[in-house]
Amino acid sequence: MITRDNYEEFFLLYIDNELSVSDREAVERYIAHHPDLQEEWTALLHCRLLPEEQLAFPDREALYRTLTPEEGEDDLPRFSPDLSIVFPDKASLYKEEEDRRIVWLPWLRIGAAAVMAGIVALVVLLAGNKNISPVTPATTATLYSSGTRDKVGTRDAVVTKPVVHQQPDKPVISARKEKKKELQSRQGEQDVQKETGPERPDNKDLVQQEEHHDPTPVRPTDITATRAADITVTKVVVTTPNVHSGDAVAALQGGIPKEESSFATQALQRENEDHDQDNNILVSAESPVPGKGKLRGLFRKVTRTFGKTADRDNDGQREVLVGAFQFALK
Amino acid sequence: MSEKEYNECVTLHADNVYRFILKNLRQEEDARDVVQSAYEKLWKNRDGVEAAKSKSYLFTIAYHQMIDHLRKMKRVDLRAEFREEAKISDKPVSQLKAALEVALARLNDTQRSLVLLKDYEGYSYAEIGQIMELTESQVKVYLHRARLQLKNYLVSLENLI
Repeated sequence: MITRDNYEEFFLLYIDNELSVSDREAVERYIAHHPDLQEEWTALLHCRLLPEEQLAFPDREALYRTLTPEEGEDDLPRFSPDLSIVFPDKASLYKEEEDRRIVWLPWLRIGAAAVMAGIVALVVLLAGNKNISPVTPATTATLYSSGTRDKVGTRDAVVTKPVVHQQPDKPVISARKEKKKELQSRQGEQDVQKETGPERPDNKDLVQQEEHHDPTPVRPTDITATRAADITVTKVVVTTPNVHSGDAVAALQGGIPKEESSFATQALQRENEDHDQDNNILVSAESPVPGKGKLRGLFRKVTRTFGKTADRDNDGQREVLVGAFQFALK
Repeated sequence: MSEKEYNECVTLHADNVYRFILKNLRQEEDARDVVQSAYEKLWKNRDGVEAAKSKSYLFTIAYHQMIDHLRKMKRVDLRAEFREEAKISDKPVSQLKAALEVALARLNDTQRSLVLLKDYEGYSYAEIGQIMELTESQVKVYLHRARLQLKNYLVSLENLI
């Protein structure tokens, strides 16, 4: 219902074309019945803007777009490969790789020769050392003269009883202390032997460690028996790995009580007791390494071989023997 | 929206958008740049635009770019408006169309856009609200105020003459 209070809104809605057909007719009837509002109604009708058709966008063609092939849509033509076109001389394009030649460098030849020579020398050296190895199985005896290193074999030197294979090396200092004790006990034993003479095979030989001239530690595993009358020293090497020195002493005594045993046996027993004490003290310092003995033995063999051969003179011509090879020194 | 539909949108609505922007900016070059950039954006986003809504989408883009342009350039010059007012006062009242142009120029940007979209393009309140991001009631109120301002200006001008 249009009244004096709301007619303006109806007029504006009419101009904005937001009224229904019936409302538009109602507005038109209201204006007709109220001529005092005709002027205001005319002013509002003049406020409507009419589109200016002469105003046109000057560069409309620039706004048109066409799709590029990259942007392509499904309806755009697409190219497909023409499989009927083939390359006519394809065989000329195939290639084969040339044979590769192996070029040996000169230093490779020399290196290979050196390696081979080294292997041969090592094999020969090892084969030769097996024949002169001082470490022999049990119950082998090797006799050395006290002044020289020539082998001298005697029947007396053969000892059938298993004696000792003592545990590894000790430092030189402890070994020399033992030597002093042995020399003292040996001196007393020889005196006793002269008076009483040998009673049993065990007491017949004095136990003595081999005196070495080289500075290497004395191996306590070597128990040598010497006769006071002879100059020769018998070296008895018995390799019984797991026999303790105390057991060896008991074996030497052969079940005889300590008081009834000979002076030499008692000296050996004291030596072993001292040696056990030293072992207890040095157990942390010298740990027995089974492989060490073998390795060192190998080195000793090698040095011995070199030492023997290097000292040889042949008609004034100094020569060096390395294994089976003989080299002349200028 | 396909390529064909886009080009149809150019044919049908390019002039309308241009008039709408030109009446707001009153600078042909600026209006042309705004229209071109609006169509460029429509082309890029054509996959997400339905053909039936392409016109309102285009006007929406153009309107916001115009607002950005106005803010950027700050082309509002009160002295120029006073000069235009003086010019019109010298002209006869019969030149109603010119007086209406001056009255339109006196509206603020929102009111002017509302009037142009309503009178030039015939959009409904709801459609104008979508384009200008206003509610329907806001469009109605703002547009009625703009109409009354135009009417008052024209009536006052007639009284002076």
